[in-house]
Amino acid sequence: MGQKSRDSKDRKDKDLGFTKEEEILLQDFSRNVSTKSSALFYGNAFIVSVIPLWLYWRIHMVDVYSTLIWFILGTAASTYLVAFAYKNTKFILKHKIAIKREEAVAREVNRKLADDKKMSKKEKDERALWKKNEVADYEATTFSIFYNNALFLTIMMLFSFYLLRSFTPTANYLFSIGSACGLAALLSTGTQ
Amino acid sequence: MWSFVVSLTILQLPLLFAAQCTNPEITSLSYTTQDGMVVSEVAFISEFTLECANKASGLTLYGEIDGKILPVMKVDDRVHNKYQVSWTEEIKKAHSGDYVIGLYDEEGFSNLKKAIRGGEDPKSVAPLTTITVNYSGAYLGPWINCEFLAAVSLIGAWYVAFVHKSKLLS
Amino acid sequence: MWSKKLFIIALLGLLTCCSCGEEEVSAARLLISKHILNKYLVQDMDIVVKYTLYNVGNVAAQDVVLIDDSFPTDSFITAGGQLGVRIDRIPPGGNVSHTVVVRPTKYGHFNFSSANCQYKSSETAEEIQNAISSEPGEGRIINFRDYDKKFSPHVLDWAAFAIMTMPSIIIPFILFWSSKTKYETIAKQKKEKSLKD
Repeated sequence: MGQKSRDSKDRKDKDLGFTKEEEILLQDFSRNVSTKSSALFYGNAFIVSVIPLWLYWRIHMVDVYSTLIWFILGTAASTYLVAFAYKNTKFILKHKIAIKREEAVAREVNRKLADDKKMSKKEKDERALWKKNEVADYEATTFSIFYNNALFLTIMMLFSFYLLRSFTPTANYLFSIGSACGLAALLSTGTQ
Repeated sequence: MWSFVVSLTILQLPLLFAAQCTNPEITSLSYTTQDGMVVSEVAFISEFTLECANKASGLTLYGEIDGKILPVMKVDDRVHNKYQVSWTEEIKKAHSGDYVIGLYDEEGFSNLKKAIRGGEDPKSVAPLTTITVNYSGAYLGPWINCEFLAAVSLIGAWYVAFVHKSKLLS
Repeated sequence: MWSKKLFIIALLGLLTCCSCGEEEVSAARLLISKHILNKYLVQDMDIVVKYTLYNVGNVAAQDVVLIDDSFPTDSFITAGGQLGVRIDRIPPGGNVSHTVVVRPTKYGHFNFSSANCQYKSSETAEEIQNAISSEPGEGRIINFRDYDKKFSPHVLDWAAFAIMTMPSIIIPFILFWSSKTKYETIAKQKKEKSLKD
C-alpha cells in the first residue's frame, strides 16, 4: 500500500503537481492502511480470537474434534470483524490525536533539526507534519488494539459465562464470539 | 431345660459385668466428612475404647450432646469395651469446632432423663466421661470464583480503555 | 345336629381365644431404614450411610445386632464407623441411628442392598428375629477424574487464560501510554515555557 502510493505520487507529481504535503494529507484522510498496519491488525485480531478457544476447551469441556469446524469458522469471522473494528477505531482516533499532538511533535522535530541549517523551513514543516502523522498513527493503532481487545474479551466473557451459561458449548461459543466481534465492529462504526 | 438355664445365665452375664466404671479412660478415633459437595449431610463418627480401673466391661453407654440423646453402639468384637457413637447433621447447620459428647452409664442416663423431663439443665448430671470430636468444616467450593474475578478484571480493563477513549475524543 | 353346632361354637371360641391370645402377646418389632446421604457418588470420596432402627413393637428389643455385608471389601473401604454393631436395648417406640462412612475404590454401577439385623423380640425370648433394612437401590459411582474435571475450580486454567490475555491488553496499552506521556510532557514544558515568557 505504501509502495503503491509512492508510485502514484510520482506520477501525480508529474501530471497534477500534488505536493508532498497534500499527498500526506490525502493519505491521512484515507481509510486505507498500510500493509504493515494491516498485518499488525490481522495478527492481533487472530490472537485475540484464538484465546477464547482455550477457555472453551478447558472450562466448558467441549469436545474439540466435533466442534473443530465451528471453531475455525468462528475464529475466521472473529479475526475479520475485530480487524475491521481496529481499522475503524483507529481512523476515528487518528485525527483527534493528531490535533492534540501537533504542537508537541512540531516542537520535538524542531528541536531535533534545530542544528541542521541545510534544511529549509518548508522541509522542516513537512518533516513535522510527517512525524505528526506517524505519531498519531502509532498511538491510534495501539490504542485501537487495546480498546477493542478489552471490549471483545469482556463481551465474550460476560456472554459465555453469565448470560449464555445454560447453552450447549457449541451454541455458547457461536453466540458469545459472534456477539463479541459483532458488537465490537458495530460500536467502532459509531462516530463517537 | 439345661439350655434354658444356660441361656438365662448368659443373658445375666452382661448384668454381672455391668458394674460401675471407675476411673474411665477413653481412647478414641473420630472421623468427620471433610467434603461438603458430594454429601448432603455431614457425618460425625467417634469410635472409642473404654478402659475402667475395675475392669468393668460390656457396659451399656448413652451419649448426650447439646441436650440430644445419642445412642452408643457396641462394636461387635470379642472385646467388650469398644463402642461407636455417631450422628449426622445438615451441612449448613454444622458449625466447625469441637463437639463434646457426654457419656453416661445406665444409672447416669436415667438421672439425665429425669433431669431433662424435670426441665433441669442436663449439664447438672455429671457424665461418666466425655469425648471430643473436632470438625474442621467441610469443603464447599473455592473461596474466590475465578470466573467472577476474570469478569471483574476484564470489565476494569475495558473501563480504563473507555475513559481514555472519551478523553481522546473530547 | 346339636353336637355339630356345639362343636362349631367351640371351634370358633377357641379360634377367638387364640387370636385374642396373640394380640396380648407383646413383642418388639424393628424396622430398619438405610439411607445414603449423598448428592453424588464419586470414586474415592465419602459416602455417608445412615441406618435408623425403629422399634414399632410394645416391648423393648434386646441384643440387636446390625451387620451390613453389602459393601465388598474389594470395592469399598471404611473411612469411619463400623459396619457391624450391637445395641443392647431399643425401648418400645424408640429409635436408634448409626452412621458409617465408606469410600468406593471402583467406579460404575453399584446396587446398594440391605443390611441384616438380628434381635430378640423380648427379654425372655429365645428365638432370634431376623430383619433386613430398606434398600437404597442402584447408584452410579462417578469416576473421580470426571468429577474433578466438572467440579474443580480450574484455577490453573484461569491463570493460563490471564497470562494469555495480558499481552494482548497490556502491551498495546503500554505502547500507547508511553507515547502519550512523552508528548504530553513536551506539550506541558512548552506551555510552562510560554507562560514564563
